[in-house]
Amino acid sequence: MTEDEIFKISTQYRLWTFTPKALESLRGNTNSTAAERVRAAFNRIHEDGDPQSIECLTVAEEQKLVLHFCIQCLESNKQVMKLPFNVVATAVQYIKRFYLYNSPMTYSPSKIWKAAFYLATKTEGAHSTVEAFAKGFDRTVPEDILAPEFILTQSLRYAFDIRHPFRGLRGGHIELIALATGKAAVLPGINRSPSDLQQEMLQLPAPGSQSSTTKETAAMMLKRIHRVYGRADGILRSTAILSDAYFLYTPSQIWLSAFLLVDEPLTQWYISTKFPSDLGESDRVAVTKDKVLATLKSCAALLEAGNEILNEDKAELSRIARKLKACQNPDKVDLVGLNKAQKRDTTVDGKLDESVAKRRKLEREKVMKEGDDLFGPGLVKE
Amino acid sequence: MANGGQWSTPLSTSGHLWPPLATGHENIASRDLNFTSIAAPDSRPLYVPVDLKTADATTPKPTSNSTYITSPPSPLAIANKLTTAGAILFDPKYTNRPPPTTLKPTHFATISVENRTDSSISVRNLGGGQSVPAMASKAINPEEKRFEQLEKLGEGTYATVFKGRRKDGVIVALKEIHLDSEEGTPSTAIREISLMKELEHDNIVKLYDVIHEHNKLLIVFEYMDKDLKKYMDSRGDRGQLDPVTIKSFVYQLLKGIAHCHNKRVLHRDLKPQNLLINNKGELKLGDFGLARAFGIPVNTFSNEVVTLWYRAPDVLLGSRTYNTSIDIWSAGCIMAEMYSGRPLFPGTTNEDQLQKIFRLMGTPSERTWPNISQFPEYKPNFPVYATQDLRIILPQIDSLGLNLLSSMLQLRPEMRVSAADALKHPWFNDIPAWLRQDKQQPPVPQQQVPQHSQQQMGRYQMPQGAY
Repeated sequence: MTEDEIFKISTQYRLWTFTPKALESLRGNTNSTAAERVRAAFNRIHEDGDPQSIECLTVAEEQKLVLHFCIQCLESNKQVMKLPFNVVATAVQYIKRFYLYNSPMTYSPSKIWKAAFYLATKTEGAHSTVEAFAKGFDRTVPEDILAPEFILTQSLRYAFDIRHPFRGLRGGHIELIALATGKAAVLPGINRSPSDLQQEMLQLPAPGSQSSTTKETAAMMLKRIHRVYGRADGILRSTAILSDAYFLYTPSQIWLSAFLLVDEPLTQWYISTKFPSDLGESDRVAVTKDKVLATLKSCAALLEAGNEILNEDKAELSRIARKLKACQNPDKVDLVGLNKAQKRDTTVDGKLDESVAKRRKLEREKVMKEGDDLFGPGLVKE
Repeated sequence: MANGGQWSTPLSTSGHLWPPLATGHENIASRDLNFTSIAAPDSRPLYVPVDLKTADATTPKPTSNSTYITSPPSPLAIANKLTTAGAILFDPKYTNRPPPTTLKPTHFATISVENRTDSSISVRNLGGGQSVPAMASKAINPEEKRFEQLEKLGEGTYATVFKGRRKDGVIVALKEIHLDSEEGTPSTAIREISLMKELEHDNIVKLYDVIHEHNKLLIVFEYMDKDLKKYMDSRGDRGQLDPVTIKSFVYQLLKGIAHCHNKRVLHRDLKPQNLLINNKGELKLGDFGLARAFGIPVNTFSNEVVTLWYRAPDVLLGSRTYNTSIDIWSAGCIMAEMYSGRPLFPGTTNEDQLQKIFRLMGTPSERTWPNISQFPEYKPNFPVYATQDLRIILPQIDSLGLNLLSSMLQLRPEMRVSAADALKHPWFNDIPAWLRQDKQQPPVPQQQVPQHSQQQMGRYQMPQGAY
């Protein structure tokens, strides 16, 4: 099985990879469905109300809002939680995936993001008790984190495995070091020895300039590789996870694009070492190579544009927040209450004590034993 | 639920819609007796048969019947006429609890199929102009999504497994996980679902569906008849299996392992109890509760994994940077056990386990295993044993099979054969064609390995203790 085939059977590809057009129409659908639902809910509550009076969020506003909470998730990890980066990167993808099929008007991102973060600690093997986790946030009790978990896991289609580009980036880094030191394993069909490749590499022009003026030493090249790696890593940790890159491109396309953005000559050359050197114009392999480069360039453009979205307009955000307050679906505001109702805890005082689980189990077994009695067991005196 | 009634899956998403409108509504058509749990004042569930008529009859205002006929804005309106047993039975004389809250129907029919997650949502037309079109790729028939619960199959650390029958007759295994724990959905369950979703293979138990229902999670797996342990106890001759079956099982086991390793997943807990067999002679890997994706920091792995008997020596020596080779060691132990009918290294403690391994494989030294003394659990005073010939304990095995087995049971992890290479071993040259196929080509039971079943029959006719 090739890496490509392996990726193609992953849920990330099967369920969560889209064409740009499909992604756009999906968001449009989600937005309009949610808006309809909000209007219907308001109409039901105020029967004499004017349905036109509610102004709903636009797709662009929704995206700004979701992005804001993704950034907040990153910040909270940086400042307080200090979990491995994989956890928070996964959490951000959960939030982004969730809001492809759900609108902030239905489920407020302020409630979803912590649940997504906690879920990510479970899937990335960094999980703690919910009490300990909730302590990392202001005004947050464990129930706030657990209540949306139901809705969240369903919306994620129980596909929790997120493939990140970080490992690929590290692999590329290691391989470039090997190339620069003349120790690379060369693919068949390249017709060059590792030291040939090293010499070629040292002739590469500096990023931004066209021709190779000075020949670099291996030490200089290593420095350059480390610098490129560091900057590409920075892109992966911010714009790549916050933009739509994961929905549109594969992990290896993402990290190579980040590389391309930082050092085009080096990346172009690196990619060329993966293809046979004697390629004809119309060669099938040559077509593939062009396709790869075109894809990487479009992904790089997306990552570059992503820098803008990082500068949040505070005034705009608070305007959207105010607007959301007015059009929040009243049925879904109280997620903790909804969750409790779902778990049949409505009448009890709310807090689940430790014995509840055990009691329920005993009850269940009892009901099973008395299964022949159609109406269940008789009433028990307290 | 227990009295032969169906699992109440359709209620799953309508949990906040109580009593479950959907069930009542649907029952106009179906004539089954349907059990619906109604929250009693003390929150103990009562099980009361509910259909639309009875529900109507129990409402305080029976006039509702005519209202219903005149012009319902949508069938949802019927929900206003439903009541709970709690509301009827509630009497402040007998309790100091607050009265039950009033229940409003919750609008949930706008779930359009595109937005639907492949989980519990029971898709049905609730009227009111909210038609739910059939899903293009995978038609969801609500009737098919309900389960009849059959016997309990087992109880795991965090779940109970039941046999279940889907409405379409397919037998499934239902893993029931309770969510009341301190962490919501247990992380083991999350991890198992996460991995199983990525691992679709003929030799890995299939994950059909995940259903959230009230305070539990149901994972619906493909049903398998037996685990290898039970299979050996029931079919084998004093636990020993015949060579044809062993070869087929080892091949399938390695195929399953190879797929996991390809997808960067370590099983970490391979043992006969986790290998499931169906009556078509297929073997599949199950129970991924301990498995993990091994991409990132390998050195944080806990060394408290893998049942002792099948645990690799490097893990026993305290290695925390183990890799795919630990699953190969377990597979080797299992292969030997199929021949002998007994576990190869039935150790009682970590140390005893190591000694049992060394007694057979020889005690390693710095010469045979460079840097062995660096392991945390390494003791310079390990009793020194010479290497034994595996043939002595396993006289039944042929020489090619022995060659494969010893390449799996290498003390040094880096010397152990990989699953992909093991599959290419000449011992498998005569493997039946249906096993070789990679794609889903379920073998026709009658034609698969005819001599296999004959052999089994032969063994069965032999009286116990005949020799």
